[in-house]
Amino acid sequence: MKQKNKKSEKDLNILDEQKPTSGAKRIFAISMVFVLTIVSILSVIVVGNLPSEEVVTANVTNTRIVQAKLSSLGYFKDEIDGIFDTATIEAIKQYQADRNLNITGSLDMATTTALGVTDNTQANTDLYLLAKLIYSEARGEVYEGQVAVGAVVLNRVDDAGFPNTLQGVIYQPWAFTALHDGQFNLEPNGTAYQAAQDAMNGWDPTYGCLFYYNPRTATSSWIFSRQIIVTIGNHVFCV
Amino acid sequence: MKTRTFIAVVIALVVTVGVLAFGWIGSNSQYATVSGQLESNYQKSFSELVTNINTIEIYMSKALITMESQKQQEQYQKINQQCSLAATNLGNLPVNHESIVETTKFVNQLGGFSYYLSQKLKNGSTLSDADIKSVNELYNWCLYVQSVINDFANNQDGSFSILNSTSYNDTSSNFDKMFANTSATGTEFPTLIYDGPFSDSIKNKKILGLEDFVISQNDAKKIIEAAFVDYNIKNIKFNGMVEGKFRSFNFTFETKHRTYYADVTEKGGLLLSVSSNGTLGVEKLSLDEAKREAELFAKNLGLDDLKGVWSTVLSGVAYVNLVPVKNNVLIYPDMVKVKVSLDTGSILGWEAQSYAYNHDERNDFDFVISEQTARKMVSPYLSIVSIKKCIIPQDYGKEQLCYEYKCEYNSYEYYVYISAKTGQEVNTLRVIKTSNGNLLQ
Repeated sequence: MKQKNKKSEKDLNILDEQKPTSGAKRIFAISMVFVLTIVSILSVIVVGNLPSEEVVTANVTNTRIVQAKLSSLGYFKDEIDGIFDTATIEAIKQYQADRNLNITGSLDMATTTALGVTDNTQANTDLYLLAKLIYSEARGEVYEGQVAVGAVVLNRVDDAGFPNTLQGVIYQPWAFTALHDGQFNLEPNGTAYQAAQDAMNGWDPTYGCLFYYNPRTATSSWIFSRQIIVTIGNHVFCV
Repeated sequence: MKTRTFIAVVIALVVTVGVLAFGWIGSNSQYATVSGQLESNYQKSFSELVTNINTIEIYMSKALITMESQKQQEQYQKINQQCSLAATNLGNLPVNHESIVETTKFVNQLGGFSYYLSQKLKNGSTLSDADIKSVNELYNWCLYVQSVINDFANNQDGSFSILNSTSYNDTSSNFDKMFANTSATGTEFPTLIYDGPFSDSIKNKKILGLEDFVISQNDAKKIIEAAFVDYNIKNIKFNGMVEGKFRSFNFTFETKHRTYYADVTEKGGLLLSVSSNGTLGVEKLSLDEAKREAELFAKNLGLDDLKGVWSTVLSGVAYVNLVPVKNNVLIYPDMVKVKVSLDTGSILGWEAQSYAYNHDERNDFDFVISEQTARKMVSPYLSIVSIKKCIIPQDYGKEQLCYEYKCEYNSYEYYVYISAKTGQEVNTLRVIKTSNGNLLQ
């Protein structure tokens, strides 16, 4: 009995000790709120004073897309790697010169508008992910076949039998062989970006297909039971 | 000499074996770490899935016995949430598609249907007898899925590994079989007709936009040649048929700078889709000129009532949306998307699936509410720039006759749609001027 009482006393002590701590916490929280308010007010003032000539901040994802677009227009010959280097700047300058834009070598509003590069980060990330899948799964295929692979991914997102997000569909275990063998990590080229863009804009050469396979290499017997809709290049597309 | 050589060989061997063994142990322990982490992820997803299904069963049983409509609505909302979590967990598991597809369909369709029911209750309606019948059928289905998954989960010993028990393209594992068994209820899955993303009514959507006559492969070729008459096309080649909803002839052809792919429907001979790739020159055309090129291309195809309503530029290409105009009403559900190059004004792409699906002789142009009355529904903060009559697509295949008010407020552009039947505000879109052209949201 005694021992038990001791224990509960100890417990009480712990509770007592906690009281001042929670008071300190409250003071800390209040001061944090105060600091954050000041910071946010200051940031609004700073942002409000930015020059009106907006420049899109280059990051790896949007630089990749700029390089891909410049590459498909014939201005950028290097590897698409997302690094905003001299070759990229030179290509931008050349593009700006040809379009009578201010030759700045940077991603100003007029240039990004002309190139069609969005500053919407989510759209850029989705485009990159889809371009990666198209490149790793179908880079040897005709252009229409590349759009078709992109369309299959988007059709899966809308279908009840598959995950409901672009990421869920692409990263679903065993859905795409390119994710098993590491080919998914290759950087896509300009054509793959174009195909991804077309698929996202609603072009679907498969008219709603959910699967595709190469009849010469496919091993699953189940896939052969699906209704074939169209053959494009080496791939058979089915529902 | 011989002994020395012998010793050297022995040392070399020992060193080689040592290095190999070191490497082997190293890579093995790395493999063990990686596979351990992967296994934990799989186990987490599976264990969460079991919880999701068990929770869904409880919520469903409660929804069925609750009389209070607000409580019912809460239960259906919770079912929808749990279904969405279950779908995510199913998507994380390494199971072959043919094994897991029915389980995934079950949770997605139940989730979609529950959302529809919760919205119906929220809007003050009560559930119909058909709704209750569907919920009962889904509940029985749920009980079956629950028993299969729980049986499996409760009969695994500590050595059970998801990673080791399944493999790609092989559906013979117990884990694969268990998922395949969740649909072996011996009953048909209920047909769910409702306004939702996974409704069966969408899957069975009717095709209204194709005329009744049937064309030959040669006719299809002529349609393409006529559409691209000024393009100096060469090497036009028939690749085969596209089967399915729109049986079509698929062709490839080339111009000087591009390769084209085109589909023409067998029924009605509609140019359904064109895509192309190749290089582009420096832009010379304005957006208005590009719009005219798109309209002209449609006119040459015999679709002369198509007018450009919306356009944007993306890297040297104009994307123009065309819609039919009838009785001065813009028919948005029949939209055709056209890609026009800004260097020469040539057509790079054409997409007419919505047109093929929806284009119909619409006859209901009865504007019950006058424009003056409808205008009162537009916020007084907005200044109206222009007014148009239109039919807009609603979610899940429905249409609505509306007045379209293009408005401005605080340097933003808005489109407000007021129903011409009820005078209610149906939709409001804000134009977002991005560096990517204009977006509607």
